[in-house]
Amino acid sequence: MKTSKAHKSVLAALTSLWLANAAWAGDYVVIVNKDNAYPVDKAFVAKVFTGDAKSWKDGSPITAVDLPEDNPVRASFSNDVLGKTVGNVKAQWAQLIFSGRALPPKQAASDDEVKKLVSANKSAIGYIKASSLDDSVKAVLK
Amino acid sequence: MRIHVSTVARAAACLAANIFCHNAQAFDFGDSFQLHGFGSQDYLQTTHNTYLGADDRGTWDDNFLGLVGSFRLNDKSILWAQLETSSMDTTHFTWFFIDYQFTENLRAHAGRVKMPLGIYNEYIDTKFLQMSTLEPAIYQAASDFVADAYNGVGLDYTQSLGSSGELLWQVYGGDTYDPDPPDGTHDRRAFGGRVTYTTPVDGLRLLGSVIRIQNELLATRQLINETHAIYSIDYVHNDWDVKSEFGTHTLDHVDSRGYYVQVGHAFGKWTPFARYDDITTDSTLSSNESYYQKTLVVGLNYKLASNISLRVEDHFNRGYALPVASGEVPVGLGTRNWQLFAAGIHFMF
Repeated sequence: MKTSKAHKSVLAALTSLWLANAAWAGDYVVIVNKDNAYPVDKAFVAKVFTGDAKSWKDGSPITAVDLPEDNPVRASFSNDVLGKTVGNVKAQWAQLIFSGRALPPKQAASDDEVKKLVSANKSAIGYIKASSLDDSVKAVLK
Repeated sequence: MRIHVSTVARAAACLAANIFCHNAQAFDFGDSFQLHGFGSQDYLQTTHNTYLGADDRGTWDDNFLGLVGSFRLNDKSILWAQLETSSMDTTHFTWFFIDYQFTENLRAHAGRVKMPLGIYNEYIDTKFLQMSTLEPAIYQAASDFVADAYNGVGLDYTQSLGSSGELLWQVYGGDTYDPDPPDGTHDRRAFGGRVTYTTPVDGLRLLGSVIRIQNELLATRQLINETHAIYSIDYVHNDWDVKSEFGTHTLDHVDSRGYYVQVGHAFGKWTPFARYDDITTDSTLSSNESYYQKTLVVGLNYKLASNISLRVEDHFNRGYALPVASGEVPVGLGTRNWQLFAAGIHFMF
């Protein structure tokens, strides 16, 4: 009986952990600098992060910021917004780089680093876990 | 200037960097300069015929190291350059050009630019990005189906078709840059273009490319026209990678044709693939085994890390057009049925 209760506790804990991660992994928000007033929709964000859009309406170059490849938020963003796996997007960027056609997004190590880069750069755009959002940046796509 | 470098040592150093820095990124020297690279080391062996320096004793001389640097000059222009080296060649710049963005849809390049031809030509050296170690027959140097680069000017224009997809129009002109032009000729003017249709179907693109080159015979200064054309279907979606291309090449009334169909599917870190290749280097001699080659390729990729892959593949050949075209086997003296085995490691950063 004690063993069975212990098993149930472990199972409950693991289930909670899995559910928490599952909910967290899909819960991202796209952010821009607070002074950026340009309209941003899902199609535009997809173009930015696949190399098809390189500048804002005023002609200034877009600075896109990615999270690390193994970050679950990146996987979720890549599937939902870009419609591709992280691996496919990486291969697509590599083709552009080694053809001399486009430069890849900057890569930040964490949500805090993404926010720091975006808040310091008017032309930057990135994405973070929704729960990491604060008033240092502006959310444009949830 | 000939520069002797230890290619294997360089490859080993880059490989070590990638292994110890699992998520190795480009070297980013601030906002202006980035350095990326790629490399490969392959072993080749044939059962019969000599090709790419490989025979039944095998060779390790198939290796390559490339560095791609980009320097942002201002908001609208970037300077690009690729430096390459291998054990079979000197270190030299493959291409270098300035890219200028007029508008979101219109860009220009000026300098030495890799010809936009087919699916692979611009990144043909980056084996990590390809399914197989030996590229499809129409891309192999011996076939002469593709041209290397041009010294001149090119324009790219992206045209949105709304929900119907997008067209990328590319046109260019200049002099050809070919480190190994046809014997007795000097490449001259080249004009060409490629249109890429990104369809509404996720991952599906259709491409059509053509180049017209004027060659000058050194002995008589006579001009001979040369035309290359490639028509392509490219489908990459989730774990599937399907490609097929048909190419033609005409030089001084000699017609060559080739096509391939290639399929690969990723199962986690493993990607098995298969390809059927068919090439005829002289259409008037298409039944002569010295001028045709039909190949079934089967292989397996393994992703050791996100930017390092191992690969093994076997090529089952009938006909030996490519060894003849490369000058390694005399006409009529090859073995019709032969195999080529390749294994290697490829990386990029």
